[in-house]
Amino acid sequence: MFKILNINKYLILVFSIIILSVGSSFSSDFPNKPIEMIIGFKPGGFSDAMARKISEPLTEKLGQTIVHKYMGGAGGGIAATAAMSKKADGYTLLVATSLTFAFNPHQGKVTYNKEDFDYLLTMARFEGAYVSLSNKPWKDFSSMIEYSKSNNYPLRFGSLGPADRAQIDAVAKATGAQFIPVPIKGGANMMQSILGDHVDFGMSGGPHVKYVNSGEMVVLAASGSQPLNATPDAPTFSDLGFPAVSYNSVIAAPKGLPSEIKNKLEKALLSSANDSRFQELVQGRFVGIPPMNSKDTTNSINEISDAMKAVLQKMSY
Amino acid sequence: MENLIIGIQNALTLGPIIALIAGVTIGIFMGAIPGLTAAMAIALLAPITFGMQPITAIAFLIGIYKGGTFGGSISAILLNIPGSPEASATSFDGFPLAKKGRAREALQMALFASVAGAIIADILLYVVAAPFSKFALKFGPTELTFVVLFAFTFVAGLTGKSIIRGLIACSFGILCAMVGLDPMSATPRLTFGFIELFDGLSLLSIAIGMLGLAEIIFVLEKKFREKYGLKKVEVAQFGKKRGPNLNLVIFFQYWKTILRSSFIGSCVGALPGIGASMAAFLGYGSAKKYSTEPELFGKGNLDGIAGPEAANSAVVGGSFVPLLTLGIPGNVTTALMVGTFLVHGIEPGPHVFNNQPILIYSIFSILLIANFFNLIIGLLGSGIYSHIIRLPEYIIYSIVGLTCLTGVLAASSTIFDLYIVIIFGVIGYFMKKFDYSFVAFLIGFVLAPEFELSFRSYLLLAQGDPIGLLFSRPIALFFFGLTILAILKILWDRIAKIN
Repeated sequence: MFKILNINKYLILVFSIIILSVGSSFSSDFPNKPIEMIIGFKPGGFSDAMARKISEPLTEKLGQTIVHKYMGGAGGGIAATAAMSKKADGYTLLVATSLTFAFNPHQGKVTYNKEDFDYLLTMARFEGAYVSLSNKPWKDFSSMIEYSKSNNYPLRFGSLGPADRAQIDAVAKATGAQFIPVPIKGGANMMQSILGDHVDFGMSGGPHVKYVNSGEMVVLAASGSQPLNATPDAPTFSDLGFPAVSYNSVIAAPKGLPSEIKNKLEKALLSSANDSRFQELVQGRFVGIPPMNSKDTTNSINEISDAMKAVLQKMSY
Repeated sequence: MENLIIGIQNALTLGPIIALIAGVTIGIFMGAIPGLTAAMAIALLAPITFGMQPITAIAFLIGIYKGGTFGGSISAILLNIPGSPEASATSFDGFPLAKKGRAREALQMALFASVAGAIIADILLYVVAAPFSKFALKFGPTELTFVVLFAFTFVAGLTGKSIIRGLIACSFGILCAMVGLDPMSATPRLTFGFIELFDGLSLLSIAIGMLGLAEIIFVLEKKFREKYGLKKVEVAQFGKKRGPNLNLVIFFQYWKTILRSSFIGSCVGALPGIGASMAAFLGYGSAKKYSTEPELFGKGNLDGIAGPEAANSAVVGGSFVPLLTLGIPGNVTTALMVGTFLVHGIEPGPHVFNNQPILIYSIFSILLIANFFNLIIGLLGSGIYSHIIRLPEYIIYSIVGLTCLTGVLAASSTIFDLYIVIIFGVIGYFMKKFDYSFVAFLIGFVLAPEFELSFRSYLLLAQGDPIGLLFSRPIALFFFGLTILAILKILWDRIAKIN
């Protein structure tokens, strides 16, 4: 009697497993289990805040929990490497920046390239800007270059990473102005270095806005091709004729998503990014943009990638 | 002034108070267990603060830091095993007192001296930190190069018995700090093709490996030797009696020692990269130097507890000066705290004072309030903690071993960091076995990246004329002079010792 009962229990168990596994193979049921979101940053930063905030409406729209996994380091490269080896079934999402895909592979140190991912969404754009103190003898990027050349003054340039160094190297090549790149770790130190006059100008991804508003600093140029949110009058690098780099926050997935799943994810992500809760967060920090869909994101990644490739081939250091 | 009052009000809310009580209790408990330090407790528990309000999270960590600094002296006094490196000097006179059956007096002296030293240092921080933050803006790559260079000279005081071994340990720390992407060219160094190493070795994994896991290997060896009848390791004996309470009149007779040690501790704490162990030894040394009865030191003198304990606790307040004003962590504990600050969107540095003055005053208030809880909980608990330490080692160390690994995994979510912990556990074991100071190692590891970045930037900015740039920067020149003096002093002491 007990034996029969046990067998029945097992049968029920086996049967339900079969039902569940068959169920999961129908993509129209997607998603029927929690989705893992690999975040290519350490917890606590603004990128993490965005990933968490967009997960709120996304959970409602997909009807499944979003599980966050933090894998910071190497500019999103560690997370991208981990995500690349996951199945392209829509249950793995990757939060990284445009540079993770469009710049890091050119340096030849990572095992992935931009073709290894399906790009689903661009949710925000950082205020990538070249900034200096407002009491300097120049007002914008062009007049700074002019000042440097006419006074034979090498400009001390605060750099946050290899991408901005590549950009400034291209400027140096194009104009003949001299730069001394000074590596600086993180936005807070950059602000200290600029305010303390330890560099003449530097790259900033957003913390400069409050100093620009207080009149202490001035934005010389936007590093990308689009005008900035907080200082829309500043010229863009494209306007100036230099290679543009946009620091976008991108959500991607391993390459080869079934089209039905991809469409569903893209739609859910796009409407989540347009959700007022998410927009409130990003607009408060001046990184809000109209969210870009899969096609536009892929195009922008390709655009940045081509620009960086051209620059890097001509790099002198 | 308004900010000050709001800051105090923020600190006196329910969340921070509960966090302080929990933090101090955990800190004293962890500090009292040999091998578990306040630094380790913060490393292990930092992830659970990520979900808290910023001020509550900071209160929790400050509680652990303060509690742990006192807790280390409990096992130093009762077992002659310093619970944390900075309690080493406390055991010189604490353990003889415990053996004499005056353990309670010794513990209370350690507690009162700790709290008194901490209060004096916190008040100094209140007064000095704000003007210092404006001064801090003047610190660029050139200045930082020479500040860090000066801090390196202090490693000489922490090298243990052999200065050569201390330098080897420090150099090894510097070597480990070179792993990762080159700060100038972003090309990988010493990464052996592992992308996980691009951002360098994590301080957290190394600290847990070298402090926690190495301790377990050490205890394993001890048990192994006992089981197979190999050469035994000596086990300290307990003082059977707890003895009388400390007479407060007697405590106040040591006010000179406490005041002197508090000042030493505050200054040492305010200088980046030096730390509490050094302060404790300086406190002990100066107490002995100015004592009317130096011959009683080492035999069970309360003065010999007051000296190091006031000094190592004053370091906590002092270490918040460079942390909050320059963003430079003065020791491993504050280095780990920086990570937690960043998680809560607080970037320590000169601008915290201008941008978030209320937060700063809240932190100041929490530092002061923490002393009160440290006193109460320390007093209530110091009797009980001795029993906790007497738990079977196999229970304590099983928990420690597991927590070392789960703590790191929780923080990094990569298996790779577990390998790092285990590798550095083994390295830490051999370093301890052969008396290579891992305090020197950790200081090298923490200081080297800062030094490399500022030194290379300094050379770039100098455009081929580093001496000219040095002489145009008075602060840098001042620290350069101090460095020269410190090196001469070390050489002078060595020569005096040989003669």
